[in-house]
Amino acid sequence: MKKTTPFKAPLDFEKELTEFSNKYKVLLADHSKRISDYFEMSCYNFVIRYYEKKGYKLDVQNLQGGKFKFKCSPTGLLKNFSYFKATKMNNKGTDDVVYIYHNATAQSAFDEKVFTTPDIVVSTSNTPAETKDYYATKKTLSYIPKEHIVTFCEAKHLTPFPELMVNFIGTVHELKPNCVNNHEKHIDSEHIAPSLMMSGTFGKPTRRIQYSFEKRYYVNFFDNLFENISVRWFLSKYGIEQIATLGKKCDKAPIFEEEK
Amino acid sequence: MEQPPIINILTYKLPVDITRRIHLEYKSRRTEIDRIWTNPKYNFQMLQGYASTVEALLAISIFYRHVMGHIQGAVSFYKSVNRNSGMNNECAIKVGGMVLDGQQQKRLSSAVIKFNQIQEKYQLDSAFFEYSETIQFMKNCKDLFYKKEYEEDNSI
Repeated sequence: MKKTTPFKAPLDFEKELTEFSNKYKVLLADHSKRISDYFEMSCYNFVIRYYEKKGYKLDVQNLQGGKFKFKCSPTGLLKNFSYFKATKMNNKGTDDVVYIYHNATAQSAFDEKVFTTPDIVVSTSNTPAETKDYYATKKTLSYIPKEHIVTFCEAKHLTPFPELMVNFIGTVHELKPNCVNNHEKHIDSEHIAPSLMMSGTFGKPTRRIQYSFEKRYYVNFFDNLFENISVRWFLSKYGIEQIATLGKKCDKAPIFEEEK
Repeated sequence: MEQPPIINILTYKLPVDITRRIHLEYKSRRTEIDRIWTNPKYNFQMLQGYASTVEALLAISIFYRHVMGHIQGAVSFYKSVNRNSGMNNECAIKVGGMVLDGQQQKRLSSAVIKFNQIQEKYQLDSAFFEYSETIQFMKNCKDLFYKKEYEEDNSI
């Protein structure tokens, strides 16, 4: 195949883009209604593939009518939606089993009546707790109790900005306080550290924040979380070693000289 | 009849909220490009004769981050579900009221493959779409401007 550039073949480039649009515009228009859900799917998929790369066997659980029912919002009982089970034989000869949920409400580490709903929650149990005490209407809330929460991730279809990143640390403090506490002992772990996944690109100010937080805490900040950009890199043999886990901080090289 | 701008072609029929976001970003960055071009501190004059191409590249990069990148994500997630479902036949995904089944997956994969082919042919690697400030986009364009054409040997 001849490789060229849009500057050397501008008319061909524009013609091919036009043909692409003409052929797929109806399809893309239909699916564009679900773009935010698809980004959350990408982030969920990233966590699933992270565990695959770490040697876990993944199994789809709780199909609904033979389909994987993806939980698109914080409302709804967890037992009515599908999720993934990740299994790995550990050093002691027993299975390490975790369950990867999407849009699962998680209980605060400090107050049993405080909850928040991260986009992705990794749990040691697949029997969520329920309470009718949460809503004024006595509707049932299903949630992951604090003792079962392994880790969590947030997906934001946004360009990184300081308040978003700083607020994420607040969520980490509420759900996994030892991840923002250097005085706590952190044992070896392959579980991904609490992570903020964003579709936009870091600018200089937010890159600095990323570097500062990843140096201090057991957290990850991912930008450009697309298949052909960050996903491919971070799931590579070299990239995956840079990701922070519950036992190890992020190991990315600083981008800017002044960050050292 | 003059062809409409590429940004209009790519966003034709897309939902209003997405089109609005894409056009807002496009317009803002396009204005910045004009400012960058008039500033002698930045050495991008070689691109000024290719305004239409720079605009097409801006359009496709914004379109990727708002639309195609996410479609690729959905295609990849469908593969993960089916790889791990333990079922011999396809496992569709229910997303709200929409069902992503095998037929939809084939169509979306076709769009993804075609888009990837365009990227490959015109040497638009993944780093090209990775920018925050418009000046970085212009640097990416400048690097692309100096890339050579070549024939890739696909023979076995």
